[in-house]
Amino acid sequence: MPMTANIPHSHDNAALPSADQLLSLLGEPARGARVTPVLERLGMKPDFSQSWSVAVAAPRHGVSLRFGSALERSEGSALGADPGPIVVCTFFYAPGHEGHRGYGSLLPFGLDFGCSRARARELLGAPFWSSIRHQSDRWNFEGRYLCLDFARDESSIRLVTVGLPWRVHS
Amino acid sequence: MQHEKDSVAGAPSPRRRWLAWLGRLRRDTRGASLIEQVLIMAVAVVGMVGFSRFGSELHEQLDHEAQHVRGRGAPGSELSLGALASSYQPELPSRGTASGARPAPGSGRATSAASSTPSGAATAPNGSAATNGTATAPNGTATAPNGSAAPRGAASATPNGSAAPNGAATASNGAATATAPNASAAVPNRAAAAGAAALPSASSSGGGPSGTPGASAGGVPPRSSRPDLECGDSGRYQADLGANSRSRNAPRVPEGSDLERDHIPQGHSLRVRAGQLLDAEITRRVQAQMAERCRDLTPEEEARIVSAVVQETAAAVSQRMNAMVENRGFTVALPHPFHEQGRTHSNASLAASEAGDLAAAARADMQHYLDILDDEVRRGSISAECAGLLRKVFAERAAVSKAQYDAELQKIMLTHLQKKSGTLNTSLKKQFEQEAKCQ
Repeated sequence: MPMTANIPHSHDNAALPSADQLLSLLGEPARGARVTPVLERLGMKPDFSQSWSVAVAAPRHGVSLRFGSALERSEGSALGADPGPIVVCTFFYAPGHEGHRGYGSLLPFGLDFGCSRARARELLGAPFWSSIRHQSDRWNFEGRYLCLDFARDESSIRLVTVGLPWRVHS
Repeated sequence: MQHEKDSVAGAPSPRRRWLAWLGRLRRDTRGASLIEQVLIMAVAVVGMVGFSRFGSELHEQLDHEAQHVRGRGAPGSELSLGALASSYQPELPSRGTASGARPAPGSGRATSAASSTPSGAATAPNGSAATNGTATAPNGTATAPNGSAAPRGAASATPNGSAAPNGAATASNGAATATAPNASAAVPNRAAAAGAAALPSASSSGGGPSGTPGASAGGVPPRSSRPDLECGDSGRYQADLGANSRSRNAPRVPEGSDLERDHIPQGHSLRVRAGQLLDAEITRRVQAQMAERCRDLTPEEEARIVSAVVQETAAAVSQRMNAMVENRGFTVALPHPFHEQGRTHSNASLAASEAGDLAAAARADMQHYLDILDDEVRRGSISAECAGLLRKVFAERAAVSKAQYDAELQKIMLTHLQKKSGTLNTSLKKQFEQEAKCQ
């Protein structure tokens, strides 16, 4: 059996939002006019009844979104009155990773899933932080962070995470 | 110089000599091992005497039991069955037949028509165990004039003043006939009273209509005898109906009886629901910890951590929790032929689907029994009196809500989860250590 036999397939590639579209949702209210149509296109139904800290996946599209409180993020104060849960994180999955079909559009920052760890460092510069135990590098850009999780042999990217930086508590 | 001073002042006082001797004794280590041996021997001798005495008491008790089995009187009483034979009334209702039949209507026990007071006296509403006030007590004690059977239960009262076997109290007008074999009129009362304490408590039946659990019209039952379970008895599986219990007061299924204890709703549903509540609680705690210690987990990472911790912790908690859930579950004593007609008898497949609403499941079980009750009485699988008791018990239990069932299970679950909080924390730590995004 091929490894991807059980991975759900996307029936509608037109539903797939671009990376730019998805990243533009960061900081947007979960129930806002910009987020709702994207959630519908991806078939996501976040449930905020228990908590605002909710993550929803769209394995057919290779994308997940995480929602959370604006107060936990460094941009929180810029968002004015508490807007409720906002989009705090976007995940792009390589094909087969965590049972996802794989994100089928262009990745942000000029990356692709075949990019090695060394190549990513060439492209983005020295990472702000690297994990000692895991194959994971992190960069901070203006108002966003980028985290790349690599395969064990570091020859490819498994997961691209772009999110709002956490607020540093004093 | 001290010596000179002492000699000048004369011989030391007795108090000084005493203190000096004590000081020497304190420093003296000679003979220490001898004293230890003497102490050890003394403890051993006391132990031997104690065990020997315990053994002879036990032997004596067993002798009494053996004599009782041979029909030579109840253990711990002077009364012999032979002495009672002269006053034996053949029409006196018998208890608990093989099909769970209870005494005929009009001769019911203290539970249905009379009430048992905390002091242990069985009182009948309409008169009394001793309407004519002529009751006699085999052990020579007089019964109360207002129909309360003598608290010390060896007394038995009948209208004509004759003694009934084994301390049974009867009333003549049929409105209230209290039989208390083994001097325990409160045996059935544990049902009604304990029904209130079963999982979960029925708010409407505080203490039950018929007495206080454990109250005994006949006084304390003999040490060696456990009261018999009777058809229609209800309450907690262990504490009230005696299942899995080694308590000498816990009722037991009489020999040769086909009575069975039936959980309502079924025990499997209770365990499934307790498991659901446990999983939800562990998940809630894990999520709270993740919010504190992890950053931007994907849905899959989050689910993996939750699943691993839930699995490990629930496995550690479930076994003992399930035993308690089962033991605290509401149960009724039913004859086997009737029980096997039950909706959930040998049918565990309903458990999972019904666990979400235990009140509805219980009502469905009880309604099914009520629907077949008349037919089964006609068929003889259950007595009319027991059927009457079931109707009453079911009416009380129908008032218990879903929230009450859940609240009781939640309490049990939290108790056991608290005991295993170490397992939970260890599991959390292990999962967080494996995850790059968690501290």
